[in-house]
Amino acid sequence: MFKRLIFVIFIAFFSTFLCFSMLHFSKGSIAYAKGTNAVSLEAKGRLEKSFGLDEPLLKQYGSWLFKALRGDFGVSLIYGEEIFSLLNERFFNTLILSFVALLILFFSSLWLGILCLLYPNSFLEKLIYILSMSFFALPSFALSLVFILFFAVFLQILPSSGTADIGFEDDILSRIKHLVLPVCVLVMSHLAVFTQVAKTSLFESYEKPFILSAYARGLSQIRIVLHFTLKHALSPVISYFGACALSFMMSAYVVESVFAYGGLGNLMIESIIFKDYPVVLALVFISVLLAGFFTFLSDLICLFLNPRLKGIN
Amino acid sequence: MKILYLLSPLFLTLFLAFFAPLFSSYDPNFGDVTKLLFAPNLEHILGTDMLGRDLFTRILYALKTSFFIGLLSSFLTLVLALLYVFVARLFFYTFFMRLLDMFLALPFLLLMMFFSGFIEGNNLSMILMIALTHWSFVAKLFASELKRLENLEFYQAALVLGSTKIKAFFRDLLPPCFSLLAVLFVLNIVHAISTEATLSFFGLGLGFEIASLGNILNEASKAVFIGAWWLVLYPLLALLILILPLLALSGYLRKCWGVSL
Repeated sequence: MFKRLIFVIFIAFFSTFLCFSMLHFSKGSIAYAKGTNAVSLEAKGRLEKSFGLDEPLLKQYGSWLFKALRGDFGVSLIYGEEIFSLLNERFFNTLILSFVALLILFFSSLWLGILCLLYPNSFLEKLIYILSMSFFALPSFALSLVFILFFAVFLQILPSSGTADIGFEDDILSRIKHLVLPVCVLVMSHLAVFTQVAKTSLFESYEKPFILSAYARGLSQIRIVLHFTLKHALSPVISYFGACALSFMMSAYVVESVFAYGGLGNLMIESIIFKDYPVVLALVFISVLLAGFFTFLSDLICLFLNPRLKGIN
Repeated sequence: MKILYLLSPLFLTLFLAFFAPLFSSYDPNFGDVTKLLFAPNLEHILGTDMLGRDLFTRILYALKTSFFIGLLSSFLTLVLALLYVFVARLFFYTFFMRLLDMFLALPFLLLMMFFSGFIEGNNLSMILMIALTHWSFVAKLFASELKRLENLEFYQAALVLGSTKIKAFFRDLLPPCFSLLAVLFVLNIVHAISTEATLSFFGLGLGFEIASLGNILNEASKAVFIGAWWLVLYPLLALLILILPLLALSGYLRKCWGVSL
């Protein structure tokens, strides 16, 4: 468990190093990122010096790293703000979005899995499979476009972008309204895989001998499914959720940016397009750490739910 | 037989796409300023976009680009993964596997977006980039399959009978892996197509002048608010026609060969 935590931190460093060296060896200079292309050579040299870009790669990376570890990611080139405060604002928006989506995803996939277990080989199971598969086949950005077109342009019942209406930032109702579409897209596009995992795990534990003995004891089917099977099937599902943390976060970033939801993902793609490198580096670092943290958390929950795992680790 | 029915839309669209000049007389990149944002009509069966280009023609060319990129990058992914696992098995196996774990844990979509900021977006760089970021997944599954096969008796028997490890790798271990690799190849095409579309959607993939499904949708996202539904619906259907049969094919192959991922 502890080993894995160290591994995650190492990966965070490695991925930022990859970005850093790519930046270093690319042809363009960071000095041109500020917008105007008409920077004189002397001014370019001055700018590069102020960022410490004239030093060798490893030394640059080292100095960036020590600053980053103290929470000082430097200054954004576009916003001109401290990156730490920039992230601070948006971090909670992303957290709310992904937590709500994850919760709904978790419960709905388990529920659909149980439905498939109760009615195997039925029309319902096929319907669930076909519907979730066709949502899964579309990339998440395309699905968000459909949702915007349908709910925001034609029906005009839900807003298409932003975290809240302008001037109503503290209004919870308006915030919830803006959450609905991104959450729906995130849930829909992941439902197929997660339901499949939940289903496999549920079916596997339904075949265990203790289920048969529970039937022999004369317990009702609902009780057996909800109490015995579900509890036994839960820990593989949760650990799969943890393992998917990174890819889930990436698609949350994509969805955020289509809906212009003021979170980390929107900031990320904006800063990639406008070449705001300090922000990108900070975001890569933070996302890897976050994903690692969620994997760790899911392992802890598994351990708590399922005491049998204690012997393994 | 059922699989042929499922694959028929894919074949049909690919046939249309590869012989696009026969089916439409329009140029995919020529914008007619007098025909901006026409809804689907008899002259333009799928309507025109914001610059007056015929959507049907554009989608056909885009399908060709997307399929081409998916196929080639998937092939390259497979080659890279095979090469990596082969080299890893020759020496420092544990080290290479640790390295592979690290590659698996990288946020690749992020890195790809970041890198494509520097690289000029054409077909070749896109194929290379997708292949370079997807091989680790294939390599991991391939390595674990090899690990499983190694413990079986037929491999041990081959070694005892005097075949070297390299010889046994090609003669005994690779053929049973074929089914797994074929399924992964099909799945990778799907993945590559949707990755390319995502990158192009954000303007980070192919150049604007190349007709690709991502680029078309990127333009559509600006036109959505005017109510131009055909600009979103038809490219999406094209994407579905490309992806769903491939998913069905991979499912069929998995069932047929008993591959579990």
